Amino acid sequence: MHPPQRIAEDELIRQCKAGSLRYQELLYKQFYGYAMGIGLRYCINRDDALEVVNDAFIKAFHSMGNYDITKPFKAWLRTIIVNTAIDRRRKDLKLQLNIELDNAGPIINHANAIDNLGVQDILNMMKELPAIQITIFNLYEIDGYNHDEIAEMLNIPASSSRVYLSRAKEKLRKLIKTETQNHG
Amino acid sequence: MDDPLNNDLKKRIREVFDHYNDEHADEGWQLLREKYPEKANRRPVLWLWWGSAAAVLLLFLGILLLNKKPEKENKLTGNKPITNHPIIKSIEPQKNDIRIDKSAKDSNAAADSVMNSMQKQILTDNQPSSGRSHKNKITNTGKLSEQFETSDNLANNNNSFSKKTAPDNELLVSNSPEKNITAANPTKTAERQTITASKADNATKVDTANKVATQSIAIAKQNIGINMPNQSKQPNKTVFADNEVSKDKKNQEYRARAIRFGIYAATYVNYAKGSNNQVNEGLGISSDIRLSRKLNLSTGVAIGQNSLNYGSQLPPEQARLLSSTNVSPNASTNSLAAAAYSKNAFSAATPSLKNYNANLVGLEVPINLKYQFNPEKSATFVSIGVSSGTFIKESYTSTYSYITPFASNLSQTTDQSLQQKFNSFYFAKTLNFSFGAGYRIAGNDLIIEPFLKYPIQGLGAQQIKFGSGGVNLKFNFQGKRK
Repeated sequence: MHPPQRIAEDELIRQCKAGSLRYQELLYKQFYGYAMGIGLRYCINRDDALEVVNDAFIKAFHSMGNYDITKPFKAWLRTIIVNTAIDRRRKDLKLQLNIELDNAGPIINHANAIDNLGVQDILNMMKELPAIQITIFNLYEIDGYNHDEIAEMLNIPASSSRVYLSRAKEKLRKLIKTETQNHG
Repeated sequence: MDDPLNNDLKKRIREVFDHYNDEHADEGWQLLREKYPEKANRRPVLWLWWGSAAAVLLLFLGILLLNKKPEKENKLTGNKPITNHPIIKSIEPQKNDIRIDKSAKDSNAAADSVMNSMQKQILTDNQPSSGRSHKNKITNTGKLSEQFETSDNLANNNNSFSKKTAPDNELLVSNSPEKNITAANPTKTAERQTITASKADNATKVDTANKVATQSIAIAKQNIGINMPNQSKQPNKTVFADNEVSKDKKNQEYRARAIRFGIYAATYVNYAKGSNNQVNEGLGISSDIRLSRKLNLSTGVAIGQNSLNYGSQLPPEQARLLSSTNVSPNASTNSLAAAAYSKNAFSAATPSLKNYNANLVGLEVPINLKYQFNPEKSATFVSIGVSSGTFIKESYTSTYSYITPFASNLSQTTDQSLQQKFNSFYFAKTLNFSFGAGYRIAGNDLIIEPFLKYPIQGLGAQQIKFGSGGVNLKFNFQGKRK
């Protein structure tokens, strides 16, 4: 099976800016994997992630006219996906703000060494964390937002963002260590 | 993340998810297409939206063009729009004079033309029988005198108007310097014209020509800024001019309402030959487009129920059709009812028509000419016009019974109905008459409008000739002022 023909990103974007549905489809398919990767990190559940990704693409198509072609498209798309995911999970995040932090579930069974962690292993680990923690972890550690930005995005104090991040990291460390010991 | 474990984890997460590969892009796209683009689902709505917007735009453009016409004429004088001013109306044929002013490219040409027209008005008013002799009474040289000479004939032609507007003219034009109103032109080095209009002795008795003169002076002063050194000598004139200007302003304000929208509810009785009268209701929106001070083009859109009940008869149109054609009981839905009615139709049972009902929900676009008796003061009017439109839903129900020939007490009732939607469009098939009287409430009009709609031709799928008569309760909103 041949992979779909890759079309130059510039051409794709130019045609999408012009409103070509065909090119929008090509753009979607070209960046679908990348988008799903981001969506999964925030939503964990695949169906939720797909909805977030689709909503984000729709937003992107609508605001393609505002996209500055000189800037990397991936970064622009990432921002839209992250914001869409947070908007979607905002309710969950609020609910989980008061959840006891040390109520982590059992340690994952399938993770081996970090280098061998696959998508599902990472997602399984992430599932063990409260949504607020994993969101802040993703925002800070993976997507590069600072605590002030996170505080603004999630409508929480920056100090809370720091606390949640450190707890998320602590929890992940524990999960990995335990799992490594179990398999060691 | 200083901890090497965490660093490794972070790196691993990035690696895994940045190169995440999902082969379900096609399914994802199909899901996305359910929501996007919205245009596909909203196309009819969008079409309606754009259609309505275009219609409204056309309507406003039409109104704008209607209003622009008089403005163009005014532009020739370089003055503010005072087209409806009596003087301007009276000097309309003298456009040539105004062009002479324009060709001189004098910034005060407009002032001159107004003053000239005023002079002419005064002259013609005073001397209806001797148009040419006014030259002796006005000291005017150079270009201005030229103008008068070229427009002599026109001035003469205006005698009839002068007679009408100033039958008992007491205004005299003389060269007496004491009571002069001098329209001094600071930029002109040439000759000055002197207009002398001596006032009538009786201050309370004001003739039309005097009004016109003072008004035009006031307008000329207001619009162009002519120096009027002797103005202080005649305070009465100034006061009078102010009153006139405010009255004119009021009229202009009224005139500025080029379009007025309204809503109305109608209660009416449908009538047709052979049908029982049925009371029905409708509602609509209307717009009155001003054609002249008293004349409006009234249009809009209305939705209304029309129902007719013929009892055990068929509508005359159907009966006529039946008598002229040989109808088979199996022919069509409609002719089935006709066949049932037919005495000749006989098979196993004898059908007889018990009831015939027609229900039509109409979408009507009336176009009426509306004459307002006194638009400034009241909302009394008469209107006449035609209606076009379509029927959103038509339903014709025939109820007939079969009576078994050998058992007359055994009968069966059957309803046969024909339903149609937006079957056809009819154009100008109803004649409208109405009379309206109302109250003006803060610029808005509450109107009670008895009306009669007379059918010119048959309407609907069955071509039934029906009309209606009733009362509209209308609320006309205050028009937008310029």
